[in-house]
Amino acid sequence: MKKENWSLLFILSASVLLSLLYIPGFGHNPLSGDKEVYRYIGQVIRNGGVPYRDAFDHKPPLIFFLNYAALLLGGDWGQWLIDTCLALLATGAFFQLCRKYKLPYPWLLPLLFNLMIRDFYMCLGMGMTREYTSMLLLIFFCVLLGKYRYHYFLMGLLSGLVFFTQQDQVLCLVPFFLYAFLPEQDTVPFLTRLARTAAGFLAIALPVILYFVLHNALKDFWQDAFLFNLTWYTTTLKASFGDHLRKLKLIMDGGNYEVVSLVSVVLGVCAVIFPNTNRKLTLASLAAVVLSIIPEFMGGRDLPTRMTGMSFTHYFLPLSASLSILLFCVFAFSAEPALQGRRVQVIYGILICCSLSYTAIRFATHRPLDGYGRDIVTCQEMYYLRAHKPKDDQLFVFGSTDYLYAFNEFRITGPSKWIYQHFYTLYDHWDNDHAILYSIRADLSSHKTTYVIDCTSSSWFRDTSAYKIWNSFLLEHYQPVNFPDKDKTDTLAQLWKLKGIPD
Amino acid sequence: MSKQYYSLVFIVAACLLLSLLYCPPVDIPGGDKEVFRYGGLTIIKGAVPYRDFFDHKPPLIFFLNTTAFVFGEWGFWLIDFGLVLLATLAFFRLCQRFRLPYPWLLPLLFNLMLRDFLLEVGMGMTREYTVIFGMLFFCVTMGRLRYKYFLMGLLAGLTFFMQQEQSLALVPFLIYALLTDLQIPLIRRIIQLGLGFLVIALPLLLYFALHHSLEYLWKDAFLFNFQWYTAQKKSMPDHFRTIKEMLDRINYEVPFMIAVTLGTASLLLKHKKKGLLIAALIGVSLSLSQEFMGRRAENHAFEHYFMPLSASICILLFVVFAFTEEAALLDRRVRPIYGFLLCGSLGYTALQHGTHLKLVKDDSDISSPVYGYLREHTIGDYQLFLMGDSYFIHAFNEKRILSPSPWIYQHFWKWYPKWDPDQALLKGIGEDILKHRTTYIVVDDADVARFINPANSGWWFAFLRDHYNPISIAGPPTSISLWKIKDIP
Repeated sequence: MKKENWSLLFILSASVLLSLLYIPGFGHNPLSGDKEVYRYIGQVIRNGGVPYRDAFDHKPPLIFFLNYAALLLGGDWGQWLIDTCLALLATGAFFQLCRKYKLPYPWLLPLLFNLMIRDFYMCLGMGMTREYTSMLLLIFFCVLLGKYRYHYFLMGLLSGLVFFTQQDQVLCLVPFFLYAFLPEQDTVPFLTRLARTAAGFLAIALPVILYFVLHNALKDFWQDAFLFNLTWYTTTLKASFGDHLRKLKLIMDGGNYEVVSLVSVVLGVCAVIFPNTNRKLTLASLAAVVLSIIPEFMGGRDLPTRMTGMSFTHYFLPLSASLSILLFCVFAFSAEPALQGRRVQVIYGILICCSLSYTAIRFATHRPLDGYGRDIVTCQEMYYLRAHKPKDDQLFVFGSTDYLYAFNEFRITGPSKWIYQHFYTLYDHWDNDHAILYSIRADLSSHKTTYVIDCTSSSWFRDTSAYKIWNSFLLEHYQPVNFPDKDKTDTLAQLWKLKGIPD
Repeated sequence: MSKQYYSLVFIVAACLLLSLLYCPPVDIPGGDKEVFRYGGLTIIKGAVPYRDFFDHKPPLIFFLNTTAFVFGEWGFWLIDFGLVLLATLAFFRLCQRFRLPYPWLLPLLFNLMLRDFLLEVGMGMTREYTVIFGMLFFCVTMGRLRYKYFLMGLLAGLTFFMQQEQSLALVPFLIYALLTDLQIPLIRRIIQLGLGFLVIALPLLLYFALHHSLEYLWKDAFLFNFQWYTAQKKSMPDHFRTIKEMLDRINYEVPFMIAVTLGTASLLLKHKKKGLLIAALIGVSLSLSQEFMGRRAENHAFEHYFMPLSASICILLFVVFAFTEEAALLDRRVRPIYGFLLCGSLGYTALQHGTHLKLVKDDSDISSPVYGYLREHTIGDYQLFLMGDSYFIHAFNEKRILSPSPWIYQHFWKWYPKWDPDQALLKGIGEDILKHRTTYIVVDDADVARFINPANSGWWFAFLRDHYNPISIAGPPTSISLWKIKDIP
């Protein structure tokens, strides 16, 4: 076998091995609230429901369809397969690109991409939206530098996929689009390029819009997936610029991205200053690095008390693609000896991959099982529910998306569309008139929902009147299910059962 | 002014500014530093370290701390700054002599690492001084001074009597110097080294001999460390995990990675002095020796154990850059790249710390109601005892008073299951307290509750209740309580 094929085999094996770190099952792929929401809405689609109309989230819809597809393919393993295949596709395309541009070690940057996207400290396992947009970004870049027949169509298609998976991530495609549309880049007329790109984008957008039109849910889609983010998510809880920088530094440090970020940005800036055969693309990739972490600067999702902790680490996952792309531009286009040559790149290669590799090996050999949602999966409330097997609309979870796991384990849906209630603890003016809270009460009453997992407390609600409404409703209609060893468990959840229902 | 002078002014200014981050108004008191300062106080008051108070550090740090009582806090700061400046300038001269393109770069890195806020200890730790001595030792090794070996011995002595295990990191350079410098006969060099070492060792030994305390010095500063301090082990992978975690936390990860990668790569690439390179690489490993000597660093309070890397990493990088023959590393443009990488993160941290300084008076311990109470009352020698919270030792130093018991350093009750199994030491403390009719005792209840042997904490609380009454002081709830001896109004 040729040396190049060995390299390909090595990098594909590395990608699969790193994906294997997050195989389905308890203790492997971490349980996380966001992922449970996506899985839940996939379940809603399977049951004939419609995202936004029947289950609230403020993410674009593709992630729900992807989770629906995963359910059709067998559930968790289906999702793992889709995820791994996408990672392999991005890795293979990037490897081909590195080979095409004669990088001395064409496997190095694809390996970095895989190590970063599977970095245990950052990724929250498999299945986050930004994981997919990172893969799509890398494929987009490979298409950009490739010579495909449907070059612009594919770019439009990929940008559509990115936009309808995680809206803000489309921003980091902008510098590459600007580069692609430069007059000197192609002999194809500008308008033709634009039309092809738009056609690609529409190939994703139209079916999505049509789906919501046909289900009379276009307004819900617009309001929840787009308007909500502009009116609430990015305009409240603002942190100072200094705080954002501090958070950035903290996450880079804690998430093991520090060395690779520092090396990439320093080399990227140097590559722009030093002789370079494609300075514009290098500049575009530098801009893309900045734009890939722009969500951090778009709002303050963290409560002030959590600013100093590791939270929202997945917001930095797109760096796995943008930094790999930047380093590719440095190594492929810099004409400076200080950045070129096999020996130089070996040194940089060790620097960028060493720490991440160590973490991956350590994670593979020392899985922190307790940190994987063990408290949710093994709590007494879950054992109780497993014994009683609630049906559709017979379970409701308030105050924690982690407990949506229960819906997904039992493959049922809830009585209310409001499955995601963090806003009561985040925003002062959320649900001022309690319309949402009243609708939840009405839904629970009309379905005679048997069980409620309540994870709230008086301090959890910013608005004390909302707490009173919710708590009085619970006390009026439900009774707590007590467990003898409750104080020994770590969960904050309290299981409530509808009054008048016998055991 | 020539370019070289600009570089000199820059590095002196950087050294001064970084040292000012820990000048007296903002140098937050820390447990170990306060113990050292108390050691200085005992000497000033005519007492003898080890005999009259317990610590397991070698004696030089206590003698150095006497200067704080002679020249004041700023005097102590000036000595510290002067020592760092001396090491910085010596290193800068060395970089200039070996024609490094940016001779200020590595001395700047040295200062940034040494003054790294995330080590959270400020000025005055033993390893800060051994780092300075280590850097000076290397500069002397590379220099052509007339009394080179005498000075090397002197610096080795200073290191050994400041922080014992740090003299290990000097060994590779000592061996290198003895093996490569063939102009002077080996015996003569060894004699010169020995003389230098004795210049430090003899006065110290004489001091303790005259005070009939040689046995205490031997038992506490040396034997204790073998019997207790290094006796608790952890596995090799656990040590690596600790190192990785600590390097991340204290912002040393990038310099460490670059230095070790370039050092190892240089072994395989063209390099003029591979012997020295190997010595520098071993020097880096040995500067981490304290991590491998026990398992203290796992509880996140021993970041300063990694401070010696500030010298060993800079030395390794110097050896790489000064003697490499590899085009990829000789290129003038490569150096600024590595410069940014090495100093970027540490520079940011220093800037962030510099713009968010906290005054000593705002420190949570110093501004606590209990501390305020102690400040308001006149307390003489032996009239205050602290149990648990070593940060309150600052009160002894501020009031310049002695403790009734030599045991002001009580972590061992929390660390070692077999420490003081029959409460003999605790009973000794009790006897001392009662003998002096000590008026006040400050207790960190949470700390005492962490004593491994419940019989020890039980004995202590019983003793306290028998002879002392708690004083109620208004303020937010805290684990620190103040007790006053019964029968005193």
